[in-house]
Amino acid sequence: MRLRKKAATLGCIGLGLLMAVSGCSPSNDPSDGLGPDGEVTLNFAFWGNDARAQMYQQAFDAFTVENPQIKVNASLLSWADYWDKRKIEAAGGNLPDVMQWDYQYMREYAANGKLLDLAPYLGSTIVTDGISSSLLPTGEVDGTQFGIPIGGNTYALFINSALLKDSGVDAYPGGGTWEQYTSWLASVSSALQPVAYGGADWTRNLENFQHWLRAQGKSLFTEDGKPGFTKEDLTAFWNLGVALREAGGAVPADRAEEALPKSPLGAGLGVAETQWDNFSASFAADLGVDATDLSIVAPPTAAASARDLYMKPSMLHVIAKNTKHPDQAAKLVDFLINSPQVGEIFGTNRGLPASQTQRDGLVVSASIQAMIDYEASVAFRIGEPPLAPVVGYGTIATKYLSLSTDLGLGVVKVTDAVNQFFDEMNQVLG
Amino acid sequence: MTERAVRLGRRVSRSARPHMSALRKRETKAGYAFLVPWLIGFFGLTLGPMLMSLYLAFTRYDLFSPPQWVGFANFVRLFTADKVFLRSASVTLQYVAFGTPIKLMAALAVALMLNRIRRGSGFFRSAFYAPSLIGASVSIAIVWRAMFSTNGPVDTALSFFGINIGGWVGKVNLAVPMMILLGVWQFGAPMVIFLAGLKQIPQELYEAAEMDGAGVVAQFRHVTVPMLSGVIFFNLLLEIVHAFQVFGSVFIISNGTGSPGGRLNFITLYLYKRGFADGQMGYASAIAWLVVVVVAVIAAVLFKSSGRWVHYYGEDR
Amino acid sequence: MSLHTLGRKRPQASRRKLARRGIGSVILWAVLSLSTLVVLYPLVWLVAASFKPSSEFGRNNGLLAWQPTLANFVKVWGGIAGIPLSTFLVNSTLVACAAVVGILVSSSLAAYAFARVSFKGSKIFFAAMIATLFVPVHVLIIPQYVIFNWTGLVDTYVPLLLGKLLAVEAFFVFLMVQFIRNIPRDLDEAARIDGAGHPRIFWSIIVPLMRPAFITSGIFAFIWTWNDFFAPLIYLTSPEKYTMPVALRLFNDATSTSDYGATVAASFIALLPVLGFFLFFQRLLIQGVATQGLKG
Repeated sequence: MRLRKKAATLGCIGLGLLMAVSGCSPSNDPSDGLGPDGEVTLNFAFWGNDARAQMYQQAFDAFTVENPQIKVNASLLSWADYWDKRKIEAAGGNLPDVMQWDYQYMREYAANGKLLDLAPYLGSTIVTDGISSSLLPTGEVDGTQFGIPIGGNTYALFINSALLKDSGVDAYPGGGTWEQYTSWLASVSSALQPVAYGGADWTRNLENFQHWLRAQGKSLFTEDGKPGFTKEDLTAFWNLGVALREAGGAVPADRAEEALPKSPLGAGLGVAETQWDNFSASFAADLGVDATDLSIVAPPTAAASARDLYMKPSMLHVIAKNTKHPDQAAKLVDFLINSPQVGEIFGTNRGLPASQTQRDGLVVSASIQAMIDYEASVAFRIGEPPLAPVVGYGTIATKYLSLSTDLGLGVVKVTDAVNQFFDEMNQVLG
Repeated sequence: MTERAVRLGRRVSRSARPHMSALRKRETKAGYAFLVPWLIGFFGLTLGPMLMSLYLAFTRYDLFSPPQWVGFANFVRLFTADKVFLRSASVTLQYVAFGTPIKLMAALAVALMLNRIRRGSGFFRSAFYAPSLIGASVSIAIVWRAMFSTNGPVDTALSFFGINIGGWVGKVNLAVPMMILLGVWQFGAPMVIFLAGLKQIPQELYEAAEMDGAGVVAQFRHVTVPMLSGVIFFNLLLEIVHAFQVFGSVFIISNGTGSPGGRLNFITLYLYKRGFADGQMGYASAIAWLVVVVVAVIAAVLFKSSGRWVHYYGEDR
Repeated sequence: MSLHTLGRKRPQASRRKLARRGIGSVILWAVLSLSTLVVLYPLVWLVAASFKPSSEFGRNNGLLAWQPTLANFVKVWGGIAGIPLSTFLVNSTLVACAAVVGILVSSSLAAYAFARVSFKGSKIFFAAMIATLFVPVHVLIIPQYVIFNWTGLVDTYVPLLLGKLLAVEAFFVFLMVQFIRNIPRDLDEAARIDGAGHPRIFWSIIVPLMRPAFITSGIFAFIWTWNDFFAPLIYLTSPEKYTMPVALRLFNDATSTSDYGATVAASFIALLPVLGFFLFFQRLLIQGVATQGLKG
């Protein structure tokens, strides 16, 4: 009798636990985001790290002050997880209202009808005057505006000045040919190894390949979604990598692997690295130094007078087609793009702001000034941005990275790697 | 007394026969009533999914649109056009083929040692068992990666002995050995099972062997191993299946990439990436069924050979 | 043991044997102690590293910190992306507790049926249950995901718990079957004569006697669910629902570049409950594992 009562209570607790756990979720918003008194809650998603999360929180607090009826519920994921989750949500028709987006995925989601056409809001709710006219079109897919660029980036070459000083080698002046850069890297390596090396293996970056192609007037992909380069092109480029590694200029692949998720420069293993120009803050944070200890110069180029560089939208804001509150979502997008307050909060964490009004709010530190100066200095090399990347670009980029890593590790030969890459790329392009 | 019993017995046996099938029916109803949750689980979450997976293996399925039948295309691609798969299969098989025997031998060796000492065996047993509980966790994967990096504890220890190979994490030839070490580190669970098995072996057998002039090694060969063979068999099969299922550790240690050079791209990780990251669920299902076939073949071989080397206590007597 | 018989035979031989045994014991002890140190080192490293300030990682390769600090734990407690660590710990605890309840209930029911009820087909289903121990998980992952996705249950805890409620894990059923088989049938018979049916026997007789099996199963269920990484990884997409292992990975990805100390401290905290259970219940756990192999 006693046992039965004890068991019954245990059973109830257990059942209750099971129900509670499977049924409820901590963020139990009413599904249509409408609270009492017409209060609206918007869901917002972004990738990044803790620092960026805190910035967004400040931004949302400021937004709610201006728009007391709108609350924002944000969620952070790491880069890879972010896209996996979006895929699932897209399938279920419940993408978050406003999202941070990447250039690579614009076409895929817009073409599948997952993103909201922003045309009705342009010029009204979403002010676009202050946004650079070369950058705004990057949010278009086939003529329709689906996203607003948050900021712009240009590719750059970062140099860890302190580490360079230890090597006794003169700083790289920027520009020049890839071969010149390679020999400079080799000289730095011979001075510093095995503690550090010249720099990251620059053939691992698909961006460098793209710039190399652009310098020769080619492109990664053509208008009809076909590759704009041949096997010979890729072979030639990867052979440059072979030369680089033979000269000893690159951080050894296995050391670079170990340092992940830090990059070679961020881990203090490499003096120089090519990357988007808004990376100075995160490199500095990785190294634990001030951003001014890094210098930014122009990356090498395959052809001296070519306009190989371009303004890439660092990230964009998009609105989900399935949103139940498009007007409020548009308000949020406008705030995040244009508000000078947001500029002050984020600095260049999301790239140099695309909107002039937001740029006005920037607290221009030495490193931000360096970035602005850098972009001005390479303006002559900036050309038309490439088209919105093809569907499946993410998979192709991942394959490129893994193959070039394998090349660095010596587990595959260039010819074989090129064939594998083309196989996968053709599979993805369908 | 006996009269009453006989009368009762007769009454029971007279009424027993027609009730036999009714009893069996009652028992069957009761049995299935108790078994309902398990039955739902078995058919709904195990057998059903297995069959669905078999179907999906012959399709192209990305979760958004309905599955498209492609026949054997997935399997053809796996064997002819997928170098990554071949590498993945290779490293997984290396891990299973080398890691499992080493782990079980370590488990047996330590069990033998623990069986010999009088005091303190409880302490050692617990100490060696602890890794089995945490070995597959994310925390330990993070620790393992740190320990096998350049200038980490392993590198430092080896340098002590003049072996300067640096970190294992990024080295193509050391990645699988590093994982084998992680597996072997968790030898505690099979060790505990061996120890229990050892304690069950009657002392008389050892004494008899000793009197016949058998030394320690001979005793091991002719008493210990045969008596333990059932346990060895069970452990072997279980460990092999578990070895094929390694996921969390390689995922965390390689940051989800399976590098260096795909050496940490064990088959479960590859399946995950193809199915969940690339959205190629039909292809991933094909991979899954290949694993099932391989495990089934290994199990069949083991079962077949077990007739020759596995003895169960009580059978020889 | 057989010292008795030996002693009668040749005293010198027995003394030599004793001496050999003595040295043998010492050597064994030495080997075992050294092995213990090596085996436990990773844990020691983890604990020591969690007190190392982030800036020392990479510079200080020794075990101990130059300037031990609690800062890592403070940082970790604040959580990630505005979600405090306590949220993840609570999530993990809820899921693990619910799993324990589900497993104990469903496995005991199934185990009773296999062990005590002679029903038609029991042999086949028992064999099937044992077989599921050896089915590689690969072949279940994708279809289960498809099913849960189709029923809109992704990003809930249902996929993580449903299997537990349906006795999908044969380890526990098997453990309980072995245990019940060892309970003498006299009490069953007595109750049967009193007119009790199976439910009554199960509830009033078997269950109370199964306490040790329940405790052992409960602890294993808790620990395995607590450590489970794969299911939360694929089914939970909202960070605020994450359990510790996935939260730890988010932590690792997001802060290991800037704050490795925090990652290590979080790893340590994630292991504490498991280690705690282990320290208090080691004997039970080890017994539970041991019975698995017997009569396998």
